Amino acid sequence: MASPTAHPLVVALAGGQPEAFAALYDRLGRSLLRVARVMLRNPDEAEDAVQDVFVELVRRRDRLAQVRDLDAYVFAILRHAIGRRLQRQRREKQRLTSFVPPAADKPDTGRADELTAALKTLPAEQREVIALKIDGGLTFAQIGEILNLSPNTAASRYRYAIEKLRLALE
Amino acid sequence: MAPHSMSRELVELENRLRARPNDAGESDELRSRVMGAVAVELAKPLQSSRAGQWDGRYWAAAAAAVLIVMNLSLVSASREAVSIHPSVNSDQLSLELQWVRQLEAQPEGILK
Repeated sequence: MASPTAHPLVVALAGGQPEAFAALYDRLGRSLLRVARVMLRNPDEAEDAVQDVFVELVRRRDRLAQVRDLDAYVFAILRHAIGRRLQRQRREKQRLTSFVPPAADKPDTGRADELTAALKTLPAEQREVIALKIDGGLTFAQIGEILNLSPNTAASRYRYAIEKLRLALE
Repeated sequence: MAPHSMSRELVELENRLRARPNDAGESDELRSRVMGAVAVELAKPLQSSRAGQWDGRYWAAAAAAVLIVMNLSLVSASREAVSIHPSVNSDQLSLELQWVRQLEAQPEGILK
């Protein structure tokens, strides 16, 4: 679970201290990777997306002082990185299907169980809210901030997604 | 509905989701890779100042390109105005014009 933003960390990040980025990775890296894995369904792409987040953070470090919730901000950057990668995946898929017939989705690690498989069948919007809550460990307020929704709407969307997942498992 | 009012069934599903295999794996390797990328990025100037530099360079290059195109157009237009063909000088042109005028006036005389 992501802990609340520590102000000194933001200051250190804004100051471009490498140890601050390492500390942020130690705090959020694993959660970021889990969310990216759920959304991208490709472990290599997920790792690249996490790297994109940190590179983007370094590039934007002069704006970090204005950030209210660092965790929500970092996950919002991840969401954009994932969005860009999903768009590229779609373009690649379209190009490939014009040459070869579409293949079935491969499990990413070979350890995918029934639940993971059911999660993959959910629409991206619902997978996203589950990933941010379960894998990202974020609060509904943070999820709302990232998705530009009220905390209540984020909570409803999450509950709806869980319910849909339950139905998919029946 | 708030998540705390979810049925026990849904809460169990939530717990199953938390416990499912989605571990990060190879996190040390990824950590080194990410920290390497961070170090490379930190060595560069900040994006905002770099963007300013690029803006300046971009406008200078664009202005130079416009001037070059304008200059080439002027040179081309003036060449066309001065001569009909680069290989024809003004003496040749006046001789040919004279020949055409004679042909118009006395076609048979010239053809004989």
